Parts: sequence; C-alpha cells; structure tokens
Amino acid sequence: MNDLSKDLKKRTFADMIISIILCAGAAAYLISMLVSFLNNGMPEYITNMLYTAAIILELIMLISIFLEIRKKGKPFSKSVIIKLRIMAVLLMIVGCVPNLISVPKGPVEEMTDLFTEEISSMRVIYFDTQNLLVILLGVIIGIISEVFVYGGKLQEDNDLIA
Amino acid sequence: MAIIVRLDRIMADRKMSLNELAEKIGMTNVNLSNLKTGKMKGIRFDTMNIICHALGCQPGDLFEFTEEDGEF
Repeated sequence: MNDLSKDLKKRTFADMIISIILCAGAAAYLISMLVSFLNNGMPEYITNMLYTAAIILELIMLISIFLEIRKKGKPFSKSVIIKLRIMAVLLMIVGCVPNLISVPKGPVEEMTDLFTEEISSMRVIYFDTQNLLVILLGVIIGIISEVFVYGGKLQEDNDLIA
Repeated sequence: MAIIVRLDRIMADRKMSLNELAEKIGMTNVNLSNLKTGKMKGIRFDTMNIICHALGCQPGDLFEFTEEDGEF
C-alpha cells in the first residue's frame, strides 16, 4: 500500500467518526419525533420524520463509503459509484415530497370551533424552495458520481502501470 | 503488443528469483509477476531505474520489439 492510500485512510477516519455521530443524533431526533407524533398526532411530524429517515439513510451510505475507502485504500470503485447514485436518487425523491403543516384558522373559523370544540387548525401541503434545494443537492451528488466513474477508469489504468 | 518484456531472461542470467527481486526493488510479487508476464500496460521511469539498478542492466535489455502484422 502506498503513501497516498495511507494518507487517505487517515483523513477518512475523522470524517467517518463525524458521520457516525451525526447519524446517531439523527436517529435520536427521529425517535423523539415519533414519540411526539404518537402523543400529539400533528402532521408536521410525519414530514419531519420522513426527512430525518432520509438523512439517516444518506449518512449510513456515507459511512459505508468511508468504510470501503478505508478497507481498499482507494476512493474509486464500482460500489462507491453505486452508493453515490443511490444517495443522489434518494435525495431527489425526498426533495419531491411536499411539506405538511398545520396552519391556525382565521377568526371566523375559530368561532365555529367554539361550538364543535375541535382543534382550530387546518392542514396545508406546500412545496417550496427548500424542496428544490434538496433536489439540486441530489443532482450535484449524481454529477459527482459521474466524476467517480471517470476516476475509476483512470485508477484502473494507473493500476496497470508498474 | 509488439513490445515484449524480457525481465525473465535477465533474472535468469543474474540467477535472481522473482521474490528476491521484488524485495530488492520494493514492489509486490503480484505487480512484478504481472510486469514479467506482460500484463501491465506500462512502466514508470522510476520503476525502470530501480529494476536496472537492481539487475545491473540497461533499459533496452528489459524490452524487445517484434514486428507484428496489422497492428497499426
């Protein structure tokens, strides 16, 4: 194993630890969201849980990429490219999921609620620039995976030079 | 390919085994074996320099060109 591989292994170690900590944090947040949803039943928690689950999946993929780089000492391999593509597609799908929020009703509706004694809010589905940003991130990761395809070919060539 | 690696001939002349040469030049057995059997696409000047130094030969001694019909 050459110095480049050793250096790469060293550098990815810190990244892997940070990813594991973030993943654990996201998992704890997901559990707290689930508990809150079971207690309140508010729709905001559903979209939040979905986004958090996607973040956890992305981080798991990232950790597995780091593990593979540490194992092989090379960043460009077929499985890394596949994982990057899965990450990109997952981000694009999650970006297409609209937000679900509860908006308080106006004074007229609230008056009617005085008689029915229901929670005075209505559920709204909306799609904003944050969704577009997540989709854009997915596209960027997809482009990076294409760079990895080219890198993989260069590495194959380099491995055949003594 | 028209260029043949003649590492085996030089090694036999010097009575040096593959493992011995690999250890001397700091290359893995697999890589050196691939180079010897012509499976490699190329060789760096650095590697050639080390091999020539270890075997006491010229770069020209390591390779041989044979004309092949219809290659170009």
